[in-house]
Amino acid sequence: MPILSILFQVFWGVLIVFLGFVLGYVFFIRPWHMCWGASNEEIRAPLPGDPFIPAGSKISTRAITINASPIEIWPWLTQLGQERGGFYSYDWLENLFGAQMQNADQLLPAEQHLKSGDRVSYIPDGPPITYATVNMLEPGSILVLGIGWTFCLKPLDSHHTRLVVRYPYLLGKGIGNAFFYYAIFEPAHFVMESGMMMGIKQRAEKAARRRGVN
Amino acid sequence: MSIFEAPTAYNSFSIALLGAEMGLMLAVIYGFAFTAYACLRSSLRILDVLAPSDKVFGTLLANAASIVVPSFVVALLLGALAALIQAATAPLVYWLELLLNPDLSPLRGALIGLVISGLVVFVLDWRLRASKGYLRAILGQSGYVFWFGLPGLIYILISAWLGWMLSIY
Repeated sequence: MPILSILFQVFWGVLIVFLGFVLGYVFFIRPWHMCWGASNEEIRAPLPGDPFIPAGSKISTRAITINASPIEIWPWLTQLGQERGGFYSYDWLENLFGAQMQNADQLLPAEQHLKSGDRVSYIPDGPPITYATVNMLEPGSILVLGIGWTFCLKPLDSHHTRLVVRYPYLLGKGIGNAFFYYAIFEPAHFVMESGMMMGIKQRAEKAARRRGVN
Repeated sequence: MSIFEAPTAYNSFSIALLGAEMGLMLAVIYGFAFTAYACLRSSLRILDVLAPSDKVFGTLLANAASIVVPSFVVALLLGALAALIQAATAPLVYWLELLLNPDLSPLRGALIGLVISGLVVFVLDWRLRASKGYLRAILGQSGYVFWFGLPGLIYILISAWLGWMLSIY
């Protein structure tokens, strides 16, 4: 039947192009984005959040240089969370999933008191899977959320800092979990986490420049 | 028969297949449109934040690929659902046209498609509003427009067009 013929032609055409694209993604892009911006030393180096990471987790380690001191970057980390200053990523994307995210462009004095045990939510009033708990916090240096999502500030000099972010994902058994993780979560998480790191860089550098001018 | 060529003969099965094809294709096109928008918007931000020495090209490429992969997968999954809905709607429009539009008026055909798809959207919207949990949480936000509002509008328009076309051929 012509309809089936055209349907299959379109379907196979699109599928072949997409499979080629997926192969390129798997062999070239994925290995690169899993350690986006991080040096080999940063990838291998242990971080304070590592003891929280469950065995068998899929781990990404990403890093970015921020032209500001750790003290200038830290306040932006303490107000992370949907209920605080957002995640500085693409809120227009997060809000398609009911996150009600509003990224703060300024420091919020009332949200500078993050402590161990506090919640950092991804969406409002969600079940436990939709928030992480602060497990470790060293002001100006380390923030560890949930099962080892670690934010580490390493000063390069008085005006430059490396923000290293390590994210573990405990992959459940079964093909469905693997499909969700590799085909949807992992690439989407790269987009959102790199967006967040660039959002922190953008805000901290802007604030540092403003302070420098004043 | 396809939307690309004039049909020679109709039966319920071929019209259901036509509907399925349209549903899948529209979902994939919708996914592509979203992907293009998301790539463009996020790329502009990357160019704004990163210096050329920060491996901008690689970041742009990885960012675009990481949007394309999940978007296309979700578009295919939801495309299967769209194909099912349109495969059920198209024969219904056809049967009602046989019943209510014997003089093959294109306007009446379009109206039949419009009313049937409008009813389906109304019922789905009602069920969605009555639901609890996460589905409920996206109501009244941009997520509702993206996941239900726009696809629902496209579904209504394409069903009206289908009713029109079935009257002409």
